Amino acid sequence: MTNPNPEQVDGSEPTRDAAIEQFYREHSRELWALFYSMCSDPERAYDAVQESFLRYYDYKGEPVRDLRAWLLRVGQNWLRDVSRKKSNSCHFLPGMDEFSIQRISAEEIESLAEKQQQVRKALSTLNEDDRKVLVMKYSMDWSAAQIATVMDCSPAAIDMRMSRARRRLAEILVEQGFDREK
Amino acid sequence: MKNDSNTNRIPSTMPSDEQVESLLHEFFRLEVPTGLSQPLRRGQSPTLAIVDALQANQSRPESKHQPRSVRMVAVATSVAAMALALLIAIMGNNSSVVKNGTAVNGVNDAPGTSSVTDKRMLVSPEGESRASERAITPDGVTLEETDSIDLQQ
Repeated sequence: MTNPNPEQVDGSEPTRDAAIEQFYREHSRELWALFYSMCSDPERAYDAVQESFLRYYDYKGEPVRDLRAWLLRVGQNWLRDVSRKKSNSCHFLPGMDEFSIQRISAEEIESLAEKQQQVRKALSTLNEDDRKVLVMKYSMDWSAAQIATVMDCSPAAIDMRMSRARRRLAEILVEQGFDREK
Repeated sequence: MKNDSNTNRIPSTMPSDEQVESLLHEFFRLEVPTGLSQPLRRGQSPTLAIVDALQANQSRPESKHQPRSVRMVAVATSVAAMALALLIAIMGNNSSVVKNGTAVNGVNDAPGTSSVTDKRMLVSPEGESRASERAITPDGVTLEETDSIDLQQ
């Protein structure tokens, strides 16, 4: 996995900005997945990604050796601060733009939102490592080897964890009375 | 034993591994924000923008932001003052004095001025005529006779 560090591309301001933009394109989804596995809230995880990058734009301190780790730490701290403030999160149904184009009825949207909420709730019940594995696999289509690099374990261990996490998720959904056909 | 009890608890409606996989694919397709595929927003994030707007509102000096009731009273006072000034101006122009129920125009006292005929008078049009000998009071006093009466100041 490449980890280009904008600090290494030292030079004029536009060069730094371009390097950050490039880093954002390559890593924003991964950061979102990691933040999402921490908070189970897509919008909040997205805000955490934005916050971490914007803070890096304004950062004037010591050169950052590992930008990915730096952004992760900033986003994680931000998430912690937000959760301490106990602000009410508003769950928008993601991908609403697609629905407006497809002209889906209000009932269908409501049913879909309910289904999303049920899966979200089930995911949040899993332990963090299980959730992280599922999020990386299904939101980014990562292979077991890629996930293993991030989670610092073997691909075989990731495969086992993934299988167990899916089983556990299915159990929780059944306990919740989840109806897939609904 | 523990595994058996867990297995017994799982209902027969348990989705297969493939079903869970497809459910997760579908779920994350909708869950991932569309903004992630767009370039980074260089402006402030919505959360920061809201916080800044709130802070700016709170830090605004009080003198610039008076209560609504105070502003209402100020407007009402100025309107009343303007109305009073207008009334005084009108009264100044119309400096008529009412004496014994008869209106006498102080400004147009001078006979022969053109404005006298334009003004409304509280006398009969016929009263202007000196030749008239009609009684103007119940006692039978004519207009001619009134000329000799001295009005006391």
